[in-house]
Amino acid sequence: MKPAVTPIWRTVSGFWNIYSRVRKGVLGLALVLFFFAIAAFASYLSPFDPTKIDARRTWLPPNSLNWLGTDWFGHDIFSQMVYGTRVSLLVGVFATLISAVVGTLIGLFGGYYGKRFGEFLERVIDFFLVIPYLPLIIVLVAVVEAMEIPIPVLWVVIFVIGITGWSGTARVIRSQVLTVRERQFIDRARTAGAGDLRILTRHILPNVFPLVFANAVLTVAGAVLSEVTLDFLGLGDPTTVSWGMILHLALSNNAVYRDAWWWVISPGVAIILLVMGFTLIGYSIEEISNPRLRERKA
Amino acid sequence: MTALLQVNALKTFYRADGDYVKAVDDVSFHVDVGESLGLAGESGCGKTTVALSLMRLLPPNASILGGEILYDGQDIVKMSDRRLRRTRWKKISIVFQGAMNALNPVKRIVEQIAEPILLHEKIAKDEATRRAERLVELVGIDKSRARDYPHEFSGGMRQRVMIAMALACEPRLVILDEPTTALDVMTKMQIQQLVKDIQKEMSLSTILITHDLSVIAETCEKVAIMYAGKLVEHADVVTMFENPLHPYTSGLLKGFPNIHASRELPVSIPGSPPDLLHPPPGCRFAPRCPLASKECEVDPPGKTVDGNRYVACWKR
Repeated sequence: MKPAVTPIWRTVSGFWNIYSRVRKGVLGLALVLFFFAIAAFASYLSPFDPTKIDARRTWLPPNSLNWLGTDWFGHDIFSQMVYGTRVSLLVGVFATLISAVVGTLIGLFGGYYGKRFGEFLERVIDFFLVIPYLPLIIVLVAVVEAMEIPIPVLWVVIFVIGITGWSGTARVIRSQVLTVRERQFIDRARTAGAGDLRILTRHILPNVFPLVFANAVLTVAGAVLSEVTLDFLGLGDPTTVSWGMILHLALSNNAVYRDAWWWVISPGVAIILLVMGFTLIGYSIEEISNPRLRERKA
Repeated sequence: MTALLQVNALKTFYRADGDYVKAVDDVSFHVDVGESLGLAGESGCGKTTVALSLMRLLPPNASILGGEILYDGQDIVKMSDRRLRRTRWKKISIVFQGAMNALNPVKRIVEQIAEPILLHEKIAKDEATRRAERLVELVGIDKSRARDYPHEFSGGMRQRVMIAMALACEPRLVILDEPTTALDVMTKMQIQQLVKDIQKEMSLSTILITHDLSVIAETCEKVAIMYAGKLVEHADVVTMFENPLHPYTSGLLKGFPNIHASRELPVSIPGSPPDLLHPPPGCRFAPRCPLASKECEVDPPGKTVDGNRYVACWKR
């Protein structure tokens, strides 16, 4: 006799059994968990206050006290890197949540309602797909900040990245909904008396959900990069410590010209590793759920 | 006996290129309480369209252009959407063609069986689940499998699940659209037996749609034969198999070997069914009919023979 309810850990361990076979996925997961750990224990890991200015210790290359050197202001770059991880993950996760929700809703409705409404949503998705998103984000951040809504700049950035980054998800979800919608169990459910809302939430959504998840993981990488770009261009909040802000200060203080390589390399490497981590997870999930991409075992 | 379902002069056409495909043209039949009717014919003769018309589940390019479908005296054709939603599944339910695709792959089967119960009756979720579990047992699946997913089931078991689902709201009429097609011989027999048992137990009326006359011979009391959108013959199973009246029916019966007769090879009917966009005038079977003559150029009227047999042919 089977247990009445399959315990959640069995589902998880079942997934892990498959997932752990994809080596690059394990690497990606390790990278992402590594950064999450740093963000969680930032206050224990950083030896200095990241915003503390020390005029006696400027332009120092990596040394025993400042592991990643110091900048022109005498900030400890290691501590700044540690705290910057928080910003990157915060923006990455929350902006992705917004994009995933918006993209899934628009994809669901656009795919389910075939006629005028679906066509209209399809055009909206196309519009957001072709629009160069970086200028759009820059303009939106500038506009929203100028409106002087009393919310932290960081959340403005999250909001703007979130509502501009959904088009890819929406398109993927929409095309999947188009095929699920034609499956016979949808007709069967409608015959049994299910309304549109119930069919969408109980029958179609569970069938496209793995796709939402795989897409979201890939979106995180894009969101992290967008946030770094905004900070680098000086559109972020100058008072928060983030990887993009470190790069921004490095640029405006001629770090490269003055051979302060440590000021540029640390954030650069961290960004690459974090984005790579999310991308590897995303591709691994895609590979697992799409048997055609699954590597043949010899 | 009283008719539970009475179909009168049903016309269901598909729109195609500004013209109409006359998929179901002037079809009338009835199903009594507790009776099992087999609806047979070649592919594309309109069997499934009849079934979909009865439930008003037609695709958007099809519509019922005439006739009435009386269930318990009420016309389904004219029913409001709200009434229709309450009738479907609760009074008439359907086992769709191809059970493999009619189950949601990501939901447990017990949830799927319970869904129509929850949608039609005001009862608590665990009560609906209990009823669904009883239905799972009724169709011969062990209760411990109720919480499995469709992919963990074989084709025959999935078909059983579909039958359980059709019975969920205790309907009085169940339409079975090709329930045993794509199943192996043994599974087919088991499903047929299951349908027969349940029918007897619940005094259910059934309409079984198939192209396989042997299935009808095994499970039905009455049989209706369709050809190119028309009903050509409607009779008792035994009478029809022993003494087919319509030449098309005779042709069909010659099409499969008889174990009691001498070793003759099955004979097929020459030609192919007409294009339903432009059916031939008069009897639609005439171009392939060995008995065709001048009078067959006019549509043959349906007539009742021997009290309760119906046939549409000039020669009878």
